Amino acid sequence: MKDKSWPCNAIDFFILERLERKNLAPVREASPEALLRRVSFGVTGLPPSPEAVASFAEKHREADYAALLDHLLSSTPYGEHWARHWMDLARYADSAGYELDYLFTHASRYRDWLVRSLATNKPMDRFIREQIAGDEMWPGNDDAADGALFLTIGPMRHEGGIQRTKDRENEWFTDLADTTGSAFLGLTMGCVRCHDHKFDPLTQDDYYGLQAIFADSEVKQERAGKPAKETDPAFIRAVPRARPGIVQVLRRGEVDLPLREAAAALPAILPGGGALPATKNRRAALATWLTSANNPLTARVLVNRVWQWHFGRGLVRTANDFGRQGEAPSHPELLDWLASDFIASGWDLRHLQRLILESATYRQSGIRPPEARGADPENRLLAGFPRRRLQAEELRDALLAVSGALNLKSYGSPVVPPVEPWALAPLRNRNWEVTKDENEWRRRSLYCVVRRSIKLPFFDAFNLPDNVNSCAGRDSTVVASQALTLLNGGDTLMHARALAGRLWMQSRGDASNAAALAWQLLFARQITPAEREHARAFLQARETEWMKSPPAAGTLPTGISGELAMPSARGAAWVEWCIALLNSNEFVYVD
Amino acid sequence: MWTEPKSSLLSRRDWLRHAGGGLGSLALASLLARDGWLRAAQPPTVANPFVPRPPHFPAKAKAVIYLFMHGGPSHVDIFDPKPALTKFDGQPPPEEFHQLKLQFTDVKKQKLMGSRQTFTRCGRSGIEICDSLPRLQQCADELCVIRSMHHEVFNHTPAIWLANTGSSLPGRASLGAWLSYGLGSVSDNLPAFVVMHSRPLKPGPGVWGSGFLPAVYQGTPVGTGATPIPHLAPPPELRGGNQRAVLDYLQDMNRSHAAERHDGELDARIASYELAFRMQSAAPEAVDIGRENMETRDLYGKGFGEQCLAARRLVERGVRCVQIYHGGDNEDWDTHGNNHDGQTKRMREVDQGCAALLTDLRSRGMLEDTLVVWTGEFGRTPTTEGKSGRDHSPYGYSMWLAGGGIRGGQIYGATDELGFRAIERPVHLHDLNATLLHQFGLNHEQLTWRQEGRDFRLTDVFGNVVKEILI
Repeated sequence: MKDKSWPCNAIDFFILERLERKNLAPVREASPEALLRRVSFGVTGLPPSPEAVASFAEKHREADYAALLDHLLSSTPYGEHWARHWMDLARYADSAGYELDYLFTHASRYRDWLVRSLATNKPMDRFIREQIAGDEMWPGNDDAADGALFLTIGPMRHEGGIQRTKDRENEWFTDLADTTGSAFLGLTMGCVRCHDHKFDPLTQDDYYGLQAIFADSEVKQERAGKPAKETDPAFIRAVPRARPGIVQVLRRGEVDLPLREAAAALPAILPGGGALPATKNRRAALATWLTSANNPLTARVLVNRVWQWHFGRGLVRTANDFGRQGEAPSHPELLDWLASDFIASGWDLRHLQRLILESATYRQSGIRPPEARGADPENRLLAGFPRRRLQAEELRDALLAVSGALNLKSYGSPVVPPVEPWALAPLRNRNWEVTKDENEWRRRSLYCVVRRSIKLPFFDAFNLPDNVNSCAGRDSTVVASQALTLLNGGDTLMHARALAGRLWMQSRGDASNAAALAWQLLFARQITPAEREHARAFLQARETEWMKSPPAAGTLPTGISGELAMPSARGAAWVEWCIALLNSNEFVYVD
Repeated sequence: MWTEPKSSLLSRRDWLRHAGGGLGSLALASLLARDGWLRAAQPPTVANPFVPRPPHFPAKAKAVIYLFMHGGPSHVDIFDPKPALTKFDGQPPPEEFHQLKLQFTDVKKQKLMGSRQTFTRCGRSGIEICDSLPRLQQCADELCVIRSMHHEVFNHTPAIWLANTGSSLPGRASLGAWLSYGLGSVSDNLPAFVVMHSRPLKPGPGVWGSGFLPAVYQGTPVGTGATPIPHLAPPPELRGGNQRAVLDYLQDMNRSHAAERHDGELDARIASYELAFRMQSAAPEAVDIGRENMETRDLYGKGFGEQCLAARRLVERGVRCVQIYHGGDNEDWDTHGNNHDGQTKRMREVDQGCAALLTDLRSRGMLEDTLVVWTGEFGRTPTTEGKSGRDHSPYGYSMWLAGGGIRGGQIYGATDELGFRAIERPVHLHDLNATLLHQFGLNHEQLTWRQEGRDFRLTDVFGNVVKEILI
């Protein structure tokens, strides 16, 4: 290793070795402002406050960075942002899907459990165990029981009368085996439902053995309505059943083609796998095995995900497929090391986060020199931090945050925001009852209702994933329809009006100060003189134009109080300016 | 159920060592050897990535409308009638086919299953088309039916990737993206590559992505129904404003932000705003099928037909590649159970739209230089799955092409007498893609993108233009 001064911690040695083998060098450290913005979005999904920008940039020292990480990693917004990541894996939705798409009242309890568990740094082995078997392992513990709601937030058919019990049961077991396989083991168990795996040594007995683990439980559903209708909201949980159900190995996964009875079993190929000893609590046995010392897969899959959620891609890019069809890791030894260090730390997620965030690798600039771009166009080797677009929820939250409208209330029932009528066309079970309190509409995106039959259009435009199966990673497309959404959407106008009003009031009507403040709010940095002049010229030109055709009230900034009245032509010009700022690449991307 | 003898399963230790995550340590050396890197010079980024570029040689086609039947249409029930299959219905399949690997079934344990469809020899050419496609039968003389399509990927997601990008793994560029990269765009106001689909696709939006090509070349999805493209106009409050001035200011900011970053995605986002701006004037009109007269609208019918009509309007206005995915999710051509009814249902959904498209393009003089492609990701087995279903079969299946310099009224290639494998003049997906590019005046071996020391192509290292089907 040539550059012995660069590494900050163990991660960096692994990264540097690969870089130097390719005759590449790490990139210089990001500016304090860029790092602050990156770490704020990365940890909390929110932009840093202007106060944080000013104080951090001014006296940036190693101790400040450590204190910043401590602060962010113990905050509720951290729990919220990382809960949203986990919700992708857990195929989270607030409704059942299928024809009825009735609402779930238990799903938000699970979501709140995620937020709480992550914000309080619950050890991740316990975090996993509670999801699989919280009710069995900690009877009477409400918190653990909420974790086990993981089992019942998948698509649920339950069309009274139409469907046979054994079909329903089979669908539930299928959902659980597939989701557990993908989310915790990084194995595409779904393939094995119909045939022995073509690429991994997983057999149908493994798959149905996993299903049989869940067969000591059944779904218990309570409807809210009296008398209850099948379209009413339901609270669904898994409860033990008197005698475990029988799971059959099915030919091609078809319920009517049973081959033989399946014995509850853990995948035989994995250490500690094989037939499950006779036990009353099968899920507890699965949960214990998943997080036991002799099963190294769970921890590897998990640390890879955490890496992916910071760097955009995992060390193994196919994060839900660690099998043969998946991709080889870019840094296999690093993955090994991270996993064993993570286990040694007692499955301490905050420890892992700090390790990643403190590394020199993470702290590199996002601006890559030509030789790195040429030799490693996909940036697999990490000479430079990979720039990323904000994901759908982060973008909406950031729009609310910078305009000063974000309601940081945490936890509770899902919020149903108003949406354009065209977006509701495919909605099944047309109970789109908009939440009455308008303050609720401005809460963080993870609290917005997730329906299986429609997606909220803003989220849909920015690649919200499907919520039927566990999703390992999001697409990030760049298409004209996103530009149209952000440029012309009614929400953007609303945010721009609020932002313009905020800037006007805080700058006491001074355009130059307002621009400086806007740059801190949106881009977390100081404005340059050229940018200040550019903004001033734009505002002046637009104001002159608006004086010729006075704008309507709906075009003007909001939140302006009497003593600082704003001429309407100026108001409209400021709103247009804010629309431009909210659409800018610097706002929408994190370096 | 397909099983291999246990002994041929990988040894446990081998798997633990090699499984993607590498449970044990992997030798760095072998990874580096595989990467075999070389310093590659990226082609220069041009200011306008859509500047029209000349093809390698004169083109026959200006546009392609690519109708993708998601899930796998059953060739022996649609374009490739098999009397022998009917004759031996219920018999075990011959031993020579026992080794074909399928996703869900083991050939040797299945029975041959004759088609319950009836067929008619149509037009002057006498091409046989199933009677569940009565309108398409009227267009038989426009069609070049290829009965000898084949490849080796037997499940949906990778097969759809393969058909679109030439690789069964994610990450490569799609046909539409290659066309945009190779030829630029002739429309300033509309995307060069538009995608329509009414259900989510198994592989997701990456199959119309740009892969390693600059992100600007990815397909733009357009919906159908009353609001095919939301937010096509500024909100009413801002209509007295000057959006161009706002955009100029925004783009100035974006360009100085992008200047030192050299990131294709940032460039693509800048371009997407310019396109979005121009689409506001062009797209409402382009996708508004309400502007067509009733006769035309009746010709196309509802649903899939409306998408075909919108596709024709887009192509008329300079869009180069329109892809329509029919079906998705679990509502598609994937008939593992009750194959006859399932396939019939899907055929009825697309028959009118396909026929209307060909008739309409012909009567407008557009078919000569508009290529129409109809295909799925694979065909289906001549054998049963369960009682009455058919499994996936990529080893021999049918598709058709029309217009764009393809000779109509012909059948090309053949499968064996039962329909398992392409045996006469086989056409691989790579050959098809080479041929499609050829019709646009592009040599598939010269249309390349250099990355990590290697020139990537749509056709990987394969592909031969099927010259015999051209005019």
